[in-house]
Amino acid sequence: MIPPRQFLQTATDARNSVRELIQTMFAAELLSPSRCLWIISPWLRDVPVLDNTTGSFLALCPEFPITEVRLSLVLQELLTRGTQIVIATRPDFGNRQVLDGLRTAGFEDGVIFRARIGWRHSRASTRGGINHQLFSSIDEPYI
Amino acid sequence: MTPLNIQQSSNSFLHWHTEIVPTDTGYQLDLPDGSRWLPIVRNIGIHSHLIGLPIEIRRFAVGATASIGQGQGAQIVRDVEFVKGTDGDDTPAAIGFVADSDGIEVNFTYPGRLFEIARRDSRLVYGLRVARFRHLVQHSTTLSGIANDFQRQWLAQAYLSTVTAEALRNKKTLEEVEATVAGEPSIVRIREVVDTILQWSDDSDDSTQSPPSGPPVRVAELLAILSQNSARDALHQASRTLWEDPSEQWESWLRERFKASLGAALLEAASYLCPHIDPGSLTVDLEALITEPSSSATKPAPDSDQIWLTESSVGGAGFVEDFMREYQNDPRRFFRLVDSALAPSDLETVSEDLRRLLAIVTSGTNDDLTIAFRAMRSTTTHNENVLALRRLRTELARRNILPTPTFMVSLNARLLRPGSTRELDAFLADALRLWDEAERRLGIDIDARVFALVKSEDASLDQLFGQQGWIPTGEAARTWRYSLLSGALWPRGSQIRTEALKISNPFERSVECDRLLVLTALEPPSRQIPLESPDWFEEISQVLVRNGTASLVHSDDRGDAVASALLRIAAEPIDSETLLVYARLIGIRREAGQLIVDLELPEAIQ
Repeated sequence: MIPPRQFLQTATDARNSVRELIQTMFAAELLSPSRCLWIISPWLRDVPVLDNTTGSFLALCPEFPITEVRLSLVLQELLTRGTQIVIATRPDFGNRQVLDGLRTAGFEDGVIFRARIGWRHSRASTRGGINHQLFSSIDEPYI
Repeated sequence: MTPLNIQQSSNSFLHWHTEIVPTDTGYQLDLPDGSRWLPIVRNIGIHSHLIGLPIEIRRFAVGATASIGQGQGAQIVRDVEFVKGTDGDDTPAAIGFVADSDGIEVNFTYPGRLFEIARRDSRLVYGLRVARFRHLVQHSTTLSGIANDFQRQWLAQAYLSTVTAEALRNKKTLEEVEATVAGEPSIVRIREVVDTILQWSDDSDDSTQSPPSGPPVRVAELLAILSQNSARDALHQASRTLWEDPSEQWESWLRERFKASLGAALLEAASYLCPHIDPGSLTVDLEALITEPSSSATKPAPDSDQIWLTESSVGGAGFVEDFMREYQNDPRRFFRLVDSALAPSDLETVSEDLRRLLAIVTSGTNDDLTIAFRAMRSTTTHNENVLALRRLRTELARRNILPTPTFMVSLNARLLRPGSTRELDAFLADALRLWDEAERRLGIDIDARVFALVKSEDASLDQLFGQQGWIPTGEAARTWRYSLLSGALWPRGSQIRTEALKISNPFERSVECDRLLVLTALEPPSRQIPLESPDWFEEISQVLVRNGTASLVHSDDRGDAVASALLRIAAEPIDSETLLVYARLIGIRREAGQLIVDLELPEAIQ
């Protein structure tokens, strides 16, 4: 069991720890894809998740562009490697961006989208944002 | 007026020279502190119109080498030097052009004695021996006037293939076999290799000139050259390099190769840095004469050299200015891009992954990947095939074999080709093992075609490949087996390394690149900790706190161990004596069958 990690991020922090953590976790997924991957977040956009601007993640996928690699591209790669992806988010229009991107690229199969689940804001962060439960895997509960 | 019977393969190449005249010393870019490139790259200077420092490029040809054939005769090679020529004036002359342009000047130092550095990696030495043999044949003065550049390439290929094939067949050393081949008046053995490996036919452009019976014109030319004692002596002299260790005599050639490889990596990194600019608009000049501005004329430091990346458009197309802007945003990024350019290419990864897959499916275990692999052969409908392919991709990914389009195409064409069987898998796995052993024994990279030629003598292949029912007989059977086997085996070693990193400059002779030569000369980016160590986390934490960077290394048979390690690194803080901090993942590499995870601790660097 991986211990939980808590973030207290401020605008002046030198490091973007959340982004670094997401990068590490998606790199781990690409190295050893889970059978099923859950992404649970009230806010979901096609954000950059791997900093491949120096080509330093080409060993995970030689087809990645030498730029920041966005969530939808990493999910596409995981889908081609047989991972089933479950996305649970709020039913906002913007939250469909990632799923629409996967559909446009012909990767609809293998994605389960749940946009009507209840979301409790019981664990708001100290700055009033939302404490995202980033993702978890059925094989190995990461968080 | 050109005679009608001139062979279409007749050719001529100009002898180009380049002179670069900078306006003044270039604008010096900052180099990143702590970079492993600092001992090699001394400075990078920008010469551009925008900052008032354009360069003048003078490119001129002083002569040419022509190889001309008429009718069915052998080609005659002639060197031409341009002279003024009026009234018997033989003052040397040149033709060419002068252009103002922009350029990037990279001053670097060779990292010590390269022949000693090269010895550190046997993979590198195996490839270098073969490459040096080809180089010696290409530049042999004995062959001047006998063989043109193309014929020299074929001569080297035919001779090396013959010697290697004989050493494999007779289980002798290259030195023993070469003495026999060189001393043989008959060229039957070479002819056999030429016929099978080069597979020339009379469909060539010069077929109208070939005699009605007898070998194709190319083969006849090659055999005619080989029948000359001087040509055979040149090949014999060059062959010694195939079994000797890199020595001081190799140094200038190794430096040439190092410089070309570094230049190709710099060009690729510059192209990554400026993706909007056509990479073809930048030329790598390795041999240019630099006319230093008088203000900066200093004696060059020993072991130092220069590479110029110059814009091919007159006046410059903005590449150098774009490069300067992007470089200054993050100098460290440029050097990481150089590292990426030196990483294994897609072809190398596919070659290594096919080998690993074959080892897994012939290991005798009934694991998920083996079941998925075999299921691909038993599908009968399109739907079954789609489902089997999906399952195979999943299982490949779980064993860290990347199911990229290139890999899947190669897999389908080689291991899963129609008619392939488990028995063929076992045969190929055994062939790969023997291939490895043979390379270790002979100390050279063995061309896939030569290995296929030797293995094609094994008649048991008829049953393995002959599942479709038809099996040819006699001499045709061996050629048939060779064709099938050379399609099932895949190229590897220096053959694919040189394909990945290339320089194209129409004004210079081409030099082969080898990324391993540069990598072997470089210090590893950071200290490496094996994941197999029981205290790997504590060890890597200590290195990160002390140095700011560290790498975790693991055999990449399975990615799950590294994935678990990454999760631990993400979740478990490191005690930096004043703070509890988390390491940052900066990249993952694959090299020589290992997965290497590069980490840094920014708090330790700052």
